[in-house]
Amino acid sequence: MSKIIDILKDVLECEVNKSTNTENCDEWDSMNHVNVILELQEEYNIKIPYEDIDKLKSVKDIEEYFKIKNKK
Amino acid sequence: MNFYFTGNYTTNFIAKEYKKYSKYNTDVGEYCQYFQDIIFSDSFYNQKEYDFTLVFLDGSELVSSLKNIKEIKGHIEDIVQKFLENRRKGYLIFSNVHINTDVNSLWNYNQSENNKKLQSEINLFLNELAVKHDRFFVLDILSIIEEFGVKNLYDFSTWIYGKNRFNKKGLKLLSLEILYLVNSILSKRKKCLVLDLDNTLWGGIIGEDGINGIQLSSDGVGDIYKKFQEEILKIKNKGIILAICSKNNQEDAKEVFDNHPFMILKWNDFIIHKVNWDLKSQNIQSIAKELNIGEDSLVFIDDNPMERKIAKEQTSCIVPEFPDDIFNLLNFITDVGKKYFSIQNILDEDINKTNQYKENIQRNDFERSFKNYVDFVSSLSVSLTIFKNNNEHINRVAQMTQKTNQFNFTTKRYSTEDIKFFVDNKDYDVYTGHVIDRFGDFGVVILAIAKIEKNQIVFDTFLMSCRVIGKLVEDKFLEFISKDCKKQKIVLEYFKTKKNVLIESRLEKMGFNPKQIKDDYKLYSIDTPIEVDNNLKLEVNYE
Repeated sequence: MSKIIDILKDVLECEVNKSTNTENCDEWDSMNHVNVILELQEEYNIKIPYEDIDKLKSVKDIEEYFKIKNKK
Repeated sequence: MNFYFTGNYTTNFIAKEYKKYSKYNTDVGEYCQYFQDIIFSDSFYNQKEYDFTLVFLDGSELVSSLKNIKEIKGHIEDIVQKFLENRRKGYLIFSNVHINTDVNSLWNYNQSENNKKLQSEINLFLNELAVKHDRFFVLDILSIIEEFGVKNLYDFSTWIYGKNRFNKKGLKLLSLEILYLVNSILSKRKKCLVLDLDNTLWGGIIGEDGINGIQLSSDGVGDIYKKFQEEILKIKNKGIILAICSKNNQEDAKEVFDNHPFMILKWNDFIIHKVNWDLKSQNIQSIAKELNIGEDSLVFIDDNPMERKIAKEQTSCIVPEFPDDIFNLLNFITDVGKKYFSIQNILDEDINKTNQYKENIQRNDFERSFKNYVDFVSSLSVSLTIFKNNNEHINRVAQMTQKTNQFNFTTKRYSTEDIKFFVDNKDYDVYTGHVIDRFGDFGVVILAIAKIEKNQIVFDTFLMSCRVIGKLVEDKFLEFISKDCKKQKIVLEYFKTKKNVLIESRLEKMGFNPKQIKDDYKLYSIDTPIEVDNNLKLEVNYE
């Protein structure tokens, strides 16, 4: 969880907490969303398919996504 | 120093990665605007000084948008020439291109062999331009891709999502490559070229093969060495000192210079001859001392990797990697000449060159020059189809209000329910536009939500996807609405945000009158109907 927040802080260069999402964070725009996806792929060594990109628009979403991935 | 990143895909991600390695200011061009930016002297880009302008061209995109190799070459040459004309200072860097083997170009289908051919033809052309023009350089992306592989460097899901080409690893390697190239361009001109003899100035080893056994002639492999020497002579003629550093018996070596019929370089072309069995690193140090210049003013060329390694470790001279394949020897020396011995910052020469470019323009059969912006846009064959209150567009319209930041006058975010309300309500009209041009189908990319009042319409929302910025679609769109609404006036609100600053003056060019209400709030108004430039050829349909 805190790792995800750290990654986002790093990419978005702003304050991030567990309720941050694309709606309430100006820096998290569509351009930076690509940076977020690239960084997550690199950190967790996975490929995020195109269909999933739009599902990862909040700290919560990302956390859930990786929980499910890990269970599989 | 200022950097400008642009290209035919999203280069923001490259720029962002590059910033980690460089402290300098980096601007990024609007998506796919590289051609307009560089060609037109009144573009936003051309109002600011940049030390480095980097153009990233994706080969696959390039061949699927342009008709043939002639058109691609024309496209590239247009950009290079206009850059040199419009800008007295600064360097232009193009990435060389990689074409995916599975790409269908418009004129070839399923022909990976043809794509390979096309790729090398484009890259060869870029290299030729780089040899011709002092301020034009090629960033070798292709060799990174060939070394690490497309699967390891490209990112396919964000390519579809946001036209981003590289994954994290790719971005990192690319940034380092940019850094190396920029540093080599900026590094000061070196003063002395130090050369090994065996397998460098000629093929073979003089001590073993003898004067008749070494490769140096006017044909075959020997000819490569002869031409290599010719290039070195050119470097010498630019005022560079030559020195020999070779493990050999001096009399064996000198005999080649004195008696070999194809030797281009003469013994006396070299100021210092270190032909002995001492360590080369020591010889290099003493060359620097004897010439009274710093070791870092020396460039050392040797085919032996061990010698290069020792020279790198023991001295501060420049040691370029020697090509593995002897057929690359000429490219190698041209590159060395350019990187370390080119004369830059000579304004007069640049001015002369500018005149040459002008002559070139008239000579080239593939040159297409546009008189003005409207001309250029007309050549794109843009077609705009306008819809009013279309139910099928509701999802897309909501999505656009959510996503669009730059070309968005009010930045109001709406849900599909909100949009459905506007479409169904007779006090509002929702106009949408679908754009196609010769480069492709952009889909529904422009939107206006108009509130209908007694004598006027007021735009609650006016936005356009940045993918179609620069095609003047918005002009035709507004013209259409101004006629369709049958009111006397159009009023447009503008709420300034960090991201939509660029469009602030856009409407004034079209004849709108601005009225500043607050610092970050303006009202624009114009009497209907709006008439746009007659010369603009842009097809408009209404469904």
